[in-house]
Amino acid sequence: MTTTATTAPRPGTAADAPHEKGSGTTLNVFSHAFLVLWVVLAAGPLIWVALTAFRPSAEILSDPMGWPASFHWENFTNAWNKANIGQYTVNSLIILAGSLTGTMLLGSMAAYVIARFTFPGNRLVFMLFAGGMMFPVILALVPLFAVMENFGLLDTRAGLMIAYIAYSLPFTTFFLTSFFRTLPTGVQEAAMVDGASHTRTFFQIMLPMAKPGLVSIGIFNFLGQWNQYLLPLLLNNEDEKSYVLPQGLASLAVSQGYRGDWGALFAGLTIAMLPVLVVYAVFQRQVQAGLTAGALK
Amino acid sequence: MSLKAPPSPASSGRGRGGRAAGPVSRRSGIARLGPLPWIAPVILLILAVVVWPVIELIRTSFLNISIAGKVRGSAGTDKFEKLFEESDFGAVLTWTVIWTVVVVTATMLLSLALAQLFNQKFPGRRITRWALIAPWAASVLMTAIGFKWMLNQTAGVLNTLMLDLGLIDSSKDWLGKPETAWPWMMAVAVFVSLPFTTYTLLAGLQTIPQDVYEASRIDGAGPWQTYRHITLPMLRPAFLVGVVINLINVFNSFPIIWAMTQGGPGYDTSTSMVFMYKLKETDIGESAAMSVVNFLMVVVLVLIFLKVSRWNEED
Repeated sequence: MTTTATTAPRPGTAADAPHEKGSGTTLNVFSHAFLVLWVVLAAGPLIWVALTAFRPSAEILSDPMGWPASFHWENFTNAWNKANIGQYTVNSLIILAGSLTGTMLLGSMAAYVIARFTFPGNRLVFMLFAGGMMFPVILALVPLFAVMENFGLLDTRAGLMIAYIAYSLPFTTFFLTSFFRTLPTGVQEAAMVDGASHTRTFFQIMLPMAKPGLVSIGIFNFLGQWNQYLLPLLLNNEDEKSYVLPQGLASLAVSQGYRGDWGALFAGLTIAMLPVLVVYAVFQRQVQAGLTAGALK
Repeated sequence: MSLKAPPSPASSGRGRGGRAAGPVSRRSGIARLGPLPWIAPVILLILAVVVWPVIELIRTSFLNISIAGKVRGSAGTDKFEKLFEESDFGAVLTWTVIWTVVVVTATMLLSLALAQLFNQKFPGRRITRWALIAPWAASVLMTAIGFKWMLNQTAGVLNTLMLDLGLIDSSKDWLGKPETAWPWMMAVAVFVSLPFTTYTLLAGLQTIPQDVYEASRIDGAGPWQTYRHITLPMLRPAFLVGVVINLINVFNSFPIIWAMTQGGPGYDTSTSMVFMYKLKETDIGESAAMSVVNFLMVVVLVLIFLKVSRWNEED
């Protein structure tokens, strides 16, 4: 990806050319070897998982590193239907639809207020978020269980969504606060002077302006929540039918030992990776644009 | 994200004399409460789901609770004393520090190299950038389980491969012994930390204007000099963000160790997080005490973080 609009403007191509030439020589054999090694290490296992998903279980066991002799789609149907991966995927999507929307909406509202309004306790609220960022889910396991039980939210979709939102909010708000601060104030002020309400200013002016930041933190949250394992393990472990994808895959990974359906496991893993790759493919450009503008200014 | 704390009141964009140019007039009481409905639900949520557990945790660490969950009165500081007297406590803390320092250092160095490479134009850059996201796309838990299979003594790919190449005489139980388990787990932790860190540094590199490099080249600086005196100083904000985020994540990391060794044998491959989790099985109060100690260590991290952000502000 070349530089985007948010990065510092590059000088004209004429001035740029010598530099590019210089870096071309820097990128010597050693660097190339390093990159190739990285690609093999990083993407290799994923490609192997995806390829293995097309092989029958017996073949996988006898020769784990082999190439698929022919492409077998039945692993996918087995995983989807028999191993309930279909059900788990739907559960994950439903939870994510609620939690991601909630996180982004509440997080951007809070960030907007912290970044753009002075009110008593502004600093304290900001510290609350910064502090919350440091507090991992794993420390809170026992008390969080009690909290959710008290509110009657244990083993409910709403409860899981709320927990996801609460643990994603600190970083989201923290990130977006600095992002909103980098946006020019003029447009917002003009809108307010023209009599636009807070709500209208926020949704019609500020949110569109903050799009790059929203996209990158949105993807960050998507990855985190899609792969979240501890929270569902703690709050959503009662009924196997309501498992989310990581739970389903983990239990499949444990049970393949005696059921021997390795093919279904690999197919399940592949299914779980697909949405992540799609989202990444669609938003790749914005991720970097957002990081550039939000993270570092 | 900026490491700066919010500006003090009245400093952000409404310094136009007495005119209430900003969205909020500082004179009007009602207008000052204006944003509260916007932020109240978020604060309530954080208080209920994040802060309340912290308070409960601290309370539990001073209670005597049976395995069945019955509160048998106050335990005073007994649980903390019991924790500090655990024979493994010192080793666990030492390993937690080693784990955090090694993983964060290795992650930052490798990410610097990767970001530098990815910032240049070369054939196949698209594909390598796609590979960059790969460890991020698969969940940490699944990556750790995958590595565990690879390292398996009887069926693991690694043993088979090394035997075939003649690197080892007999297959090894890599995760069974702490001295081989630690390096492998650290490698996995670095592996999963690289994507985010490299992206942050890459973003940092792209904010450096090209004409600075141009000037340095004209002044006759070599590539290494340019890197040391121009790239590194200008990369500092991104670098600090990377270090801080990684410190927090690596310190709090749980799934990698849990999936690969469960902190065993004994507590030999446990960080304080894993130790805390394992104590939960035997003594909830002591586990809570460990959590409080953990949390205090996290708070120290926060303080370092705030200090770092102040350094940042002085620039």
